[in-house]
Amino acid sequence: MTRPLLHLHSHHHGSGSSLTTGRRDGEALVALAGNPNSGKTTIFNQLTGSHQKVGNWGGVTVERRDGWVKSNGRLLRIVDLPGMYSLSAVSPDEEVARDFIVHGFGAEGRPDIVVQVVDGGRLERSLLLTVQLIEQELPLVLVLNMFDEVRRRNLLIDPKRLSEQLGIPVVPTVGNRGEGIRQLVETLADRLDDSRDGALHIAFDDATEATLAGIRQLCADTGRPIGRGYAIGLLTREPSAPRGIDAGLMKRIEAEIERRQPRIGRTFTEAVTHTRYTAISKLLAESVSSTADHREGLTARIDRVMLDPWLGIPIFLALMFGLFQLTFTVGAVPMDWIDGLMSGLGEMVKGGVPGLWGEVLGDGIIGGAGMILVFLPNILILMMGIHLFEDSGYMARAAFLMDRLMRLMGLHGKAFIPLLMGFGCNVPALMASRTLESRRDRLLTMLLTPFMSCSARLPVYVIVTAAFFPRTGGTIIFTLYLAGLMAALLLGRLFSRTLLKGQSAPFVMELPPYRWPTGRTTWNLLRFNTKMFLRRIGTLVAAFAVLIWFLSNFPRAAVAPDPVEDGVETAYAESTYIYRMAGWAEPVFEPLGFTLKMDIALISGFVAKEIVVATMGVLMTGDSEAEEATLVQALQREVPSPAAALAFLVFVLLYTPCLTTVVTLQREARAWQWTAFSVAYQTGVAYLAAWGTLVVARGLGMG
Amino acid sequence: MRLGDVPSGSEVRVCCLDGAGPIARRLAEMGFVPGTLIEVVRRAPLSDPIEFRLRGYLVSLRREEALLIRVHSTLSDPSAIGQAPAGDASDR
Repeated sequence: MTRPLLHLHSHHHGSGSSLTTGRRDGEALVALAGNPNSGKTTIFNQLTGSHQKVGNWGGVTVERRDGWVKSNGRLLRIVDLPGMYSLSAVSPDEEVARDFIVHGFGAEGRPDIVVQVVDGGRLERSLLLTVQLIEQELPLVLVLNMFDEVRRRNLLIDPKRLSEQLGIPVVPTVGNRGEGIRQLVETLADRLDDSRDGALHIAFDDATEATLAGIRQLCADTGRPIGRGYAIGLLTREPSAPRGIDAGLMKRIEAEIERRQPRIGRTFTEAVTHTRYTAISKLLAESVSSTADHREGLTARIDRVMLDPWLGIPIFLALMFGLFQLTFTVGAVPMDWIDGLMSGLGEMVKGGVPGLWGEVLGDGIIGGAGMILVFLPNILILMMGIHLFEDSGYMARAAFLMDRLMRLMGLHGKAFIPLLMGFGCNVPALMASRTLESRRDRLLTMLLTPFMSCSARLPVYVIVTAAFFPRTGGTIIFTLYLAGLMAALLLGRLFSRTLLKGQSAPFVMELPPYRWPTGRTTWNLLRFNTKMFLRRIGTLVAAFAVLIWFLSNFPRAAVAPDPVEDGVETAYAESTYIYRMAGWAEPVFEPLGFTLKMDIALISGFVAKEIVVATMGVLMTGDSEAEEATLVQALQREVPSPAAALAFLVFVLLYTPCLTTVVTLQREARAWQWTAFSVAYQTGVAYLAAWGTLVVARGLGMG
Repeated sequence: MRLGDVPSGSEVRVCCLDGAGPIARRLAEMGFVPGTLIEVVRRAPLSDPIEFRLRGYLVSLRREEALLIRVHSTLSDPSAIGQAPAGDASDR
């Protein structure tokens, strides 16, 4: 009985795009739900053969992703949903999952079947969601994931007994090794064809049951019958429940609840959750016979050190410092030979390809875009470090350690996770702010995330410091990272007292058990980031490099410049398109000590920070006479002073990171005022800070 | 006694939750319901937030939220907890 698993393609939707595709013919819709961090995405990747990112903290998946698998002649569309603790969602990522299951999504409607993925080690808490899903009266399959950990920890869970008690199929799996996946697909196919009922029914106390019956009667009377799960949502005042129920009916339902609410004692909401947990405890007493030490040995021992009241924060800082050191020392070795390779290649192309094409390829593409390629090792090491924080489970600990400090700055502790991720790339960091519960906290985090120095800014730092501060470069770069963080925290304090007043949302955060990052996820990460990086360089950065090259070399018909005479060359340069286009920038940036070539690099860097180095490469080395001149030497010639170089670095650190972050911010915040404000104030802060840096640096005698 | 005041390293049982609204609902859903055994694991630097172990997992709450949770010492009779909601409610 080995049916072949046919992997089809997968994709994910941006939240902003309106998806109205509905379903394909005969396609069954399968929702993959579960608590955060229970391994849904791993199961999704196994089912659909895709390589979505996984991590060990709640909130890696913030929007739905679709993939397809064929089983027994049926096409299953698997929808990977963000994690949720309960159907009463408190944050936007949970709402995505809740809405799909409870209300259905546009033309697709509700899923045909729900798969709840459960971390076997945290079964008890997860079963609350199971109970809620059963009440939704959709076919449900429970996946007992991480079953190897369950066995290792001697938690004796009996899947068969559990299945009988819950009245739904239970499939044990080990997601990262693909164990149990085939059985899951078969179970799904079987379950779709069989509409048998008989899932666990939890009876509440008499008052609650009578009120539920009353609510359902009211709805049925007005021709809109609702299920038990929906009625429970209304009874417990679940915020999304009144959707789709007209105001008049809702009033009568409210009155019904008010009338039956016991005068003293618990509210219905308390009673419902309490009854559910009582039922779960009773059920588990039968299907789990644990001989395990419930103290989770390894995690507890690691945390004793990592979360020590005195050592916790110093250890965190040491880890960050170590990561940056590694980025520069280990990354520097392959950097050197890639650099040699690229300059050799540039020369060869220029020598081998005659005429204009040789210049475009040698000066534009290789001298501009290729310049960035050198930084691939550094960027991968940095990305990998951030990934290890995420994958091991340390990310949530960092948020735990920093919550108090973050709160002093008016920020939420969980906001520390997006900020840290920003060191890798700001775009996923902006999206990660969806795990924050309140809109105020989310906006605040998204306004500050761009100050976190992403890996694309690194090449600028490295090249400029190599030119002007060869000995203190490492310290200067680390100081820039810290300065970005400080800017984020200080402005956070300012904004939280002016623009975005109000209390930070409550802090309820799970600390997941530590896990070894798997080789597969690390490999996927490296592959994915290398691919994205090369694609960016091959398309966006290369296109810009050629554009800048063209604009700075044409029109050249007017004069056949005689480079020997300095005056003629200047006149020629000033007649080119780019000088005519960007001339306005010269007086604007003059107070910061920048030259026009630096201004053009900054303006084009608004699109992406990789372009800053590419532009400087084209403008500063392209028409140079000395062919052996590197960009480092060119910078020493073109940048007026070390003070201006420092001001340039500060400007690059603080102004808008790239066009993609602007688009992402707009998509997430859905308010162009905030998007515009974000771009404007970051540029303003960058300008002022760069000016301050120049003044101070000049005062210190750096020219 | 309130959970936010319980010293680290001790175990208590939930008696009831104060307050209503989304935060009380979420706390209950995370497993803080009457009768639940809670271990206070540790406090973060500057003594906030606080880490707890319950139902086989770890969660951290700020002291502010932990003060919404009333608790008993584990020595009192667990069967009596959560059975007298009327009494609990009257002294709110």
